Amino acid sequence: MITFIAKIFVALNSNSRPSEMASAITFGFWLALIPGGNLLWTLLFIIVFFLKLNLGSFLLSLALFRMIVPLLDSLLDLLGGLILQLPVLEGYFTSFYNLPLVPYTQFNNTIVMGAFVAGLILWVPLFMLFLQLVKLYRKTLAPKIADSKIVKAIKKVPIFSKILKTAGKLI
Amino acid sequence: MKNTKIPKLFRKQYSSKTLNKKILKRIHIPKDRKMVSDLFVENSSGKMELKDDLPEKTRAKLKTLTKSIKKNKGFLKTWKASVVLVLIAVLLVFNLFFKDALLKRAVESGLESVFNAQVSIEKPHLSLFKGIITYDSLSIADSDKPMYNLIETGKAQLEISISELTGKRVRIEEMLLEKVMWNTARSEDGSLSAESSGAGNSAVMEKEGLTSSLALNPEDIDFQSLIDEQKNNLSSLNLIEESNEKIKALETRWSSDLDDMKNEIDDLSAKINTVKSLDPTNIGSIEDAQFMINQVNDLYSELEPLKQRVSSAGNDMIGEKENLAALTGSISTSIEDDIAYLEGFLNISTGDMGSIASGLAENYIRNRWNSYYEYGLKALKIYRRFQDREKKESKEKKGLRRDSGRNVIFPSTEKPQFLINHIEISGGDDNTGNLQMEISSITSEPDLIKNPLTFEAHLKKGNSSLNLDGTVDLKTDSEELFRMDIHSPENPVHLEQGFPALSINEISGQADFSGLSVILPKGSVVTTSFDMTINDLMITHDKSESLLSKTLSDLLSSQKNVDFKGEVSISTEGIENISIDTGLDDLLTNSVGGYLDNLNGSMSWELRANLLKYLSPELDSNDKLMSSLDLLGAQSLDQVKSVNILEKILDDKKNELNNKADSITGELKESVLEKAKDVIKLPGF
Repeated sequence: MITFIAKIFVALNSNSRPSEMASAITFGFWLALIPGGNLLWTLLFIIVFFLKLNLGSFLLSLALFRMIVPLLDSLLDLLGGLILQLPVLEGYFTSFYNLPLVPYTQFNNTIVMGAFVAGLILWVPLFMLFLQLVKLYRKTLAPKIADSKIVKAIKKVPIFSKILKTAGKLI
Repeated sequence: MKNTKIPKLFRKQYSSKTLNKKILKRIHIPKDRKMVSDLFVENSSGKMELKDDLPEKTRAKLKTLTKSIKKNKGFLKTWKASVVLVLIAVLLVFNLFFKDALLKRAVESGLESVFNAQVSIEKPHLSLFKGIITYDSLSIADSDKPMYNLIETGKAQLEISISELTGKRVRIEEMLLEKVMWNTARSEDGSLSAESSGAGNSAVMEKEGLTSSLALNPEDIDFQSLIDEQKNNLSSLNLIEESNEKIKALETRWSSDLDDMKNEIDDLSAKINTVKSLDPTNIGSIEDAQFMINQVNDLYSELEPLKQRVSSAGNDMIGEKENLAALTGSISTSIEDDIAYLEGFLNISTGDMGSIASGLAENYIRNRWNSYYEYGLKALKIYRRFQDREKKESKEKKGLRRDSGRNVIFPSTEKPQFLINHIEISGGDDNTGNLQMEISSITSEPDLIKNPLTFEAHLKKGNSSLNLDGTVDLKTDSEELFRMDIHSPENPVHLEQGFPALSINEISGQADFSGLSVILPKGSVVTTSFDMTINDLMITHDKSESLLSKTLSDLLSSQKNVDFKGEVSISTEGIENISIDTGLDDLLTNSVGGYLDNLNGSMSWELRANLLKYLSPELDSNDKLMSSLDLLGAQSLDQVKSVNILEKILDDKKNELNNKADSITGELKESVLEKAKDVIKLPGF
């Protein structure tokens, strides 16, 4: 667990693209929104797995957002119901529903649809937000933290220096 | 000293634009970017190149940066594809070697949760590409009888449509079940837990058995046993007991009250007798008279409340006795009700006794069809358990923190979620009978398929057979929910116990049965109308010389074939109603009607006598208690009289004393007047 968090910390401070970190957190949020156990979630997870992003941040954000997402269920249900019952889209949904394997995505479930669309809409703004936050961190906070006495002291502790070294190698 | 080589990426010359694009833009730490930017200088040809003589520390940093710059290229991690490929390969291998074992475990645990008994499946095999599931044998234990199998099958094959499965629909095209047997013995206990099962409708059957045996064997009726069995349902017994309890409570209370009042009356009487003995003639002064009058008045003040209490107690007692009398009066009505209730158990009305032949047919039908009914009930129980399981699973899902949402249903290609196109079942043995059965179109959404569920079954056991042919139409606009033609020829009929009451020892023959079962829409009762003919009727009866025996002998020997028409209504509660009509009943009623009428009267009289005998201890006790209450009532009246007498004595004594006082006052008045006259005659005036 410590290595895992250290990996995220090292990635945050290394020369990795800020977009890797931001997209990892955003995808974590999106997959936390969508209820699991369906083909849609699995497909998205596989796509994320192939993308070049920080897997640690992705898994951590997925776990953290999962804890608060149930609070949004009523909104997601409302949004999903609204989309699924749009007369304009009924024809598309019907033909989609009758395609092989598609029913296993459970896209006709209000929460699945609501979460998918909400995640899709929020993806860009959230990505931009997290991107700016990472950049801001690297520009302002990271040098201060690196120069702080506490971090310097921690780095001298053999176990922490070893962990950071290992994490740095893994990244 | 170590001299780190400068990476190739930094040894090249770049235009300022290319430098920015290929290197600087790929460094995301501002401090590092500035450092690299500062390291490049413009040469004479206008290109950007790295400064010479870089310190070792900077060279090492450039090496690290080169690694991260290379890493930051592209958006996909293609090497991860190999991880996925390895995972897929592992899954395929696992599937190849372990899928059958997984299938075995899944089927066994799934069916065990539905049937609540041990399930064993042998050599299951799943072919994913062909969509075929096979197994060698399957046995499902009976949860009610763990040493028996509910059902056991031999080889089976299921063809599942894979294309439908991709649309999240289960369509079983063909299902073949061989060597299907039921109620077979097991070598080991098939129960999952020590859960005991209730005896279903045994209570009903027991009552039916009692009724029919009593009705048909009047000489053997043990009236006392019947009354003992039904004593909790007899209102008269409870009423008498209740009445006796109330009388006892009343008697105790009133005895105590009357004793208290008697003591008070005696005390007061003693005081009044003292006053009574006073002789007014001995009174010499007005003061003495007044003293005695005061004594009498004091006794009045004691007498008045006592009189009121005695009188009020008498009235209360009369009121409570009236209530008790009403309760006691209802006992006789209650006894009549109980007799009527007990007569119902005897079923001795002439009309019922006139239905002997239909009763015979009813017994036969109950025995013949109850086993099928029990199987039907088991199927229903399993179906309900399956439904509960589904509900439980959905409840468990609700228990998670996330909402389950709603599923919006889109018009599909009009195909049901679950469909078994065709099932062929064969099996049975000589004991249970050989079975051939075909079922078509079992579905979860009957409205989406053209044909209703149809079935055909043929069960042959010895010479007898049972053929069923029917449909189950669960469509919303269905006019006929269920229809089943039944044809069952050459069923052996053998009633060994006969009807001793009618001197019939044994009945045998062969029954041809044909019928039609239906359920009306939204109904829950299966109604079967049927025709039954009993051929080659053989009746053995007593050779006694009694009138009844002779009559029956003549009548029954002339009947070889008997036709019955009837209707059976079966619900989840059991066989609700059987009505059977046969011409033989009229013949029997006419022949033995008189005998049955006499029997009826005598049994009713016996029952009444036995009930009264049974109730007599309580009734006697009731009479005694009522008598003792009457005595208490008389005591109360005596007390009222006694108090009235005491009052009279006081009244008389008071009058005497008043008269004496008046007399003394008159004498004093005269004496004063005389003295006054003497004073008026003064000399000299």
